[in-house]
Amino acid sequence: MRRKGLRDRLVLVAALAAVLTAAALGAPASAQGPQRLVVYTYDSFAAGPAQAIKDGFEALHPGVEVVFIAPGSAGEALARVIAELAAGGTDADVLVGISDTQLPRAIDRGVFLKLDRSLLPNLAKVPAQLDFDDTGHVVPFDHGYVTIIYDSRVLSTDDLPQSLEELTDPRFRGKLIAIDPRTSSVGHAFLMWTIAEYGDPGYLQFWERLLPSLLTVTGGWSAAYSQYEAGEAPMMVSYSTDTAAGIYYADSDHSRILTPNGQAYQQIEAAGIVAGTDVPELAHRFLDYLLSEEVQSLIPTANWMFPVNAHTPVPDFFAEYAVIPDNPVRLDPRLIEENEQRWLREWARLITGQR
Amino acid sequence: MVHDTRHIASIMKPGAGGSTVGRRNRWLALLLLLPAAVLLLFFFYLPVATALLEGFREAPGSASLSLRRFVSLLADPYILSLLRFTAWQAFLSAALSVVIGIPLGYLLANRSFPGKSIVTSLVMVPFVMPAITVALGFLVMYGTNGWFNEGLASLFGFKVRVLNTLWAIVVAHAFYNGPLVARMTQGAWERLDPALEESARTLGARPLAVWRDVTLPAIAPGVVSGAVLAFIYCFMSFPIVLSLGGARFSTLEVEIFTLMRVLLDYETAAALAAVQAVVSLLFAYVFLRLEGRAPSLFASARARRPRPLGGKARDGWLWVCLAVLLVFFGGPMLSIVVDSVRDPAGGVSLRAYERIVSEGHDFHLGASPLRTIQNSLRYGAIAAAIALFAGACFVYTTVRFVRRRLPFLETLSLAPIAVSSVALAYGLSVAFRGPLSLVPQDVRIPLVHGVLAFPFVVRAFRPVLEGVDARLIEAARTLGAGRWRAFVDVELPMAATGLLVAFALCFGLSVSETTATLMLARPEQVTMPVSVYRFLAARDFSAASAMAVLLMAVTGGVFLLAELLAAWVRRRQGGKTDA
Amino acid sequence: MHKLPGAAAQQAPNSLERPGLEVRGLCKRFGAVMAVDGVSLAVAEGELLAVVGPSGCGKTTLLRLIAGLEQPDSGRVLIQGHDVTGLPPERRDVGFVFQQFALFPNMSVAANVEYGLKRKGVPGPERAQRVQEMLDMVGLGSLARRRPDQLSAGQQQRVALARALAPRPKTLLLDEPLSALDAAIRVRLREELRETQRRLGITTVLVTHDQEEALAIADRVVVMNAGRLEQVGTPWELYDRPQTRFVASFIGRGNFLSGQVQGNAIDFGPWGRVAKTAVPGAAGLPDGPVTALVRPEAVTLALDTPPGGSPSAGEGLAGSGAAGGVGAHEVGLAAAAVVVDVSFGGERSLVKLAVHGSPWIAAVFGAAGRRAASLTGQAVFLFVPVTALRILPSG
Repeated sequence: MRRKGLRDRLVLVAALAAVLTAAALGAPASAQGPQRLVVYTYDSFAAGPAQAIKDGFEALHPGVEVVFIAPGSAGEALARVIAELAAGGTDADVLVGISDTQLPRAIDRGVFLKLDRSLLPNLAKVPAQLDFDDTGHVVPFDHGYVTIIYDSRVLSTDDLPQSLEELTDPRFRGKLIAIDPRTSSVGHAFLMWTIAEYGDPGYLQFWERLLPSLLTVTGGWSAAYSQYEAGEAPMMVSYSTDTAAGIYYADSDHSRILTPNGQAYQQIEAAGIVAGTDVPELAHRFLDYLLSEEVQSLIPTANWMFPVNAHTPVPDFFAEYAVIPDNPVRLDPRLIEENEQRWLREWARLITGQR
Repeated sequence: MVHDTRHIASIMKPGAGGSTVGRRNRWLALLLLLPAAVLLLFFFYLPVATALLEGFREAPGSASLSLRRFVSLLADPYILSLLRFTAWQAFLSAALSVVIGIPLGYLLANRSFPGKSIVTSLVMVPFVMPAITVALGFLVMYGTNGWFNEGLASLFGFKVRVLNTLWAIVVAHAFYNGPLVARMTQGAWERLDPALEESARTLGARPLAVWRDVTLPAIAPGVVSGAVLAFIYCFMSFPIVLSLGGARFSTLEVEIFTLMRVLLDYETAAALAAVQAVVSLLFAYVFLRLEGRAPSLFASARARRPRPLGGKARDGWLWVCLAVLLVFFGGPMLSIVVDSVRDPAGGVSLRAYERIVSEGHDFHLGASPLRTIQNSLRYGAIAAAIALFAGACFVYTTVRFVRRRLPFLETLSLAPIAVSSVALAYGLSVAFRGPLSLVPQDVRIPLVHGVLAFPFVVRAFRPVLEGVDARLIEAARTLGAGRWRAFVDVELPMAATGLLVAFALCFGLSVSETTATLMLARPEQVTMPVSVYRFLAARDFSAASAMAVLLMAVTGGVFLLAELLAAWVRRRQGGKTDA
Repeated sequence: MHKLPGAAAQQAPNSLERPGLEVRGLCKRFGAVMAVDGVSLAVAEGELLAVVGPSGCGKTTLLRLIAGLEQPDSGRVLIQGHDVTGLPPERRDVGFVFQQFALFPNMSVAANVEYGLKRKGVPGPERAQRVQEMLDMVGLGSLARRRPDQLSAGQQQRVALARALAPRPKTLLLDEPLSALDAAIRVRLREELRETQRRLGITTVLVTHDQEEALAIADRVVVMNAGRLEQVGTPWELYDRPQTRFVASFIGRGNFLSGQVQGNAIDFGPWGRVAKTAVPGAAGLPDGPVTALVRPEAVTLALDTPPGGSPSAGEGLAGSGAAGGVGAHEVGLAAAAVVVDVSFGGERSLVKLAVHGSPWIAAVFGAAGRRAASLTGQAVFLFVPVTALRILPSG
């Protein structure tokens, strides 16, 4: 018993030492070494094309290390950059995945460096209607269309809604899964579409009519999609590339795209250089690389969006099933910035029944 | 559990005896409080204060402060209705957690049955499941075409809507928090002297009256402790509410998230987070006061030995309970396992598992799936060690030196789970840029996880230490043991099982935490739940399920290990004291 | 061998026509241990029966079986002639006092006492009156509003008793009710307990490990060992006529002599031989080994022998005792002994001796204790009248 005392004490000291050593080992590995380019992005981009982009860019620029950091959704990535800038500095050199709707706010907060477009030769291959930022802070790198998808095994072709308005028909009671515009960019895009369609405050009356048709409004796209796939409802708010994705992943084309009146809401995703970066030139080269055919050709099947570089070849099945609507809908970002807070709150009050 | 054979007359009275803390003891007490103070001040209160201060600013970036925002928030009927709903769903969830926790706690404290360790570990697993995985499990279990409804339909010919109702939220919260309540209830039950129930019966009380008059008052502190934690947890809940109930059931945390991450209105978000924290801490304080008034008077003079779960008619209802609980907890978990082996093209395959362990297919940029698992295990172990060290020192000081309840201090120690995780994550990301920038990157995540686990150590360890009779230590000291020796020889072994359970709990909390991890993690620091989200974002649903299964298996394994170790320690101690 | 089936009924001094409490053939097994092994027992109406035995002998289990807190594997329990074996504890009408009192810590003293009345459905005003009555009875009328943890152990014990008695149970069951108390208060409380029990005339079973307590207050005492009854009888019977060596050593103190029955005599080795007929209860003994018990107070010490006249050691004086201070005509065993130690006990002191190489004890009274102490280390004579020998029938 008495002998054991010393041993116990040693064990405890050893445990403490282990914790402290673990702490010490965590000290920043030497600041020297390869030149680093830190890219903040959203999670599905990190899980999608990021690895190939990292490998490709590092191969083109020996001695450069690309680090992708994905704190969550696109909004969360931007929020983190802004918070870090406010606290005195961020690691981010490039932000990939800012949406056109968030841009005015980001520019107001001084997130982005003004771009030197002469360093971006590939920008010439991007159609002017996609190059939306007339302030010159960001470049678009892909675009996509938010619309309604439906399960063709459940809904027959002659039964489909022909307009947003028809979604409110009693025959679609509890048949649509929407997504929260506050927590998801898809949901946000759909709300903007309804505002573009019905105006302000007409959109509120539309949503009120739509309520009976909504099975639920989920927090994110994955939760909505799994409910849709499980057969909880035959329609959901999603992307116009979903049929293509279904074929690619599960060899199934039961999900089909609706474009009422040839419409869908256009999302343009952009990338910019974060103010205060030490490597502005490298960052420009990275943005230009993002616009190259090499990277753009990854966008369809790795990010399920459409490339912005008009010279990019896309796979045949993607060309066939991914839908670009005849009449893409977009709201002016400045209008969004001015009204977004009110819209989101009005929408939330309506949804929760608290007006 | 630990059973002391104290004289009933000398049950430690709060505040009684030895209120004179000697000068040397005072220094020792302060020294022991230091780890908790450092941990909480630097890695919780500082970042939270940074974040919440924004709420008081007159205008963004302005130095002058005002309460303007609070006034307008509290005058807003929408915010008030959010507050009401948030509290209401948290109340319902805590209530259902109690309804589930009490029979489960009874079963664990009073019956032994084959595979008990496995069941005990299994029911703790939900606690570490990422919200998105629980949502998937619930979809497969309770969806319109889910197992539960298919079962109902084939048995009774009808289905019920669970998903996308308030009940889905409440049931999922109970799935998370029921085991927590069960654990706390079990602890209180094990300390209840069976003679009290028996004497009520000899005085003519029927079993129901015994339950009402003796058992319930005795287990109440444990149940209340569990219910407080469950309530606060549900009050803060966000992903579960949105995934299972939908936007119709928005909570305060959803609003804070919207303000902070979407509208970038940090000031209003901070003010709202401050309101939320005050409300939840107020609840915590009130409950702790109540609990403090009913100190553990029911301490056992006789060992409560669980008897085997019998096939007798009177254990029938327990078998039913056990079966219901197994379905309730096992169903959603099993459904994720099933989902992970489902081939998109039909049939069963293990391809998802091949994908998540293949080094070549690297979804995680710098952290291979294997590395991800390593990260989770390492952070979990370090975080648990940190929380346990700081928490045990804190509890030791309050129980042995202060010797009375300090509801205010305890409320402060509960704060890490009572503050918006979105706001905390924001505060942390700012603090690690500024005043805490010297803290090495590698320990940031475990430190923050340690902070979040700290309240659980306090809640789990305090009753255990209170159960160790202070006179045993005095006895050891009269036998020539120093304070340290007495601690190592007497208190540590007697509290060992409680510490083991607390360690497993902290480990699980760390492994499952995502909000702060996402905010702080560098690419090579991705953890298992984060990788579940990544797989989902990449539309690889079965790989996400496979990773979630792995997460459940790893943490379930750790729980089981802790359980078996605790049983072993208990057996060894039992052998010693029975001799 | 040791078991005396049905012994209780035969030996009971009171009329057991309609016993207040009866158990028949009770058996209870815990795993591999037979805690209660075929116990039959009857307690007369109003009798106080004490059950004694070493810890683990099954006495507490027996009590719990009577109360219904355990279910017997076989056997029956009858209270006032009614079979209650299948009834739950709350319907058996028993009062139970637990070892650590088991007062409800969340209720006041009065609420504790009131509890059983409430459960019985006694109306409010009557309840309050009864509570006051009971508390006055145990002398705690002024402490009604206190909480149990504000009471001393002795007060807690009284509350526990008042609580058990308040509903006027048919049977009172006491499980080591005094063991948690200090020695002084224990003696006082057991007197109180006895008095209360007499006054109420309630059939009572007291379980205790303390034989002195049992002998002091019980009408009859049961000695249990390893789940079985060893002997049942009045305190005096158990003390004076123990049937087994276990009972003899458990009840009171004693010295044991091993002997050999040979024809008409018993040979006690170095002590010498005595005639069988001279020893009470030895007449019918067959040849073979035998054990005799000698209580300490039956041993006479010759403390006044002048130091010069020491006897020749080892020589037995069988048949004609003539040691100093002893009646010249008395027949007994005599031996030389050395005083090892004296423990002073007021009116009675115990003298530890070494006799023929074995330890003995003898009791001396009053001032003799001091005299004995002054002889520590010296030789004395001791004498045991042959009528004081108690033959233990079963070894």
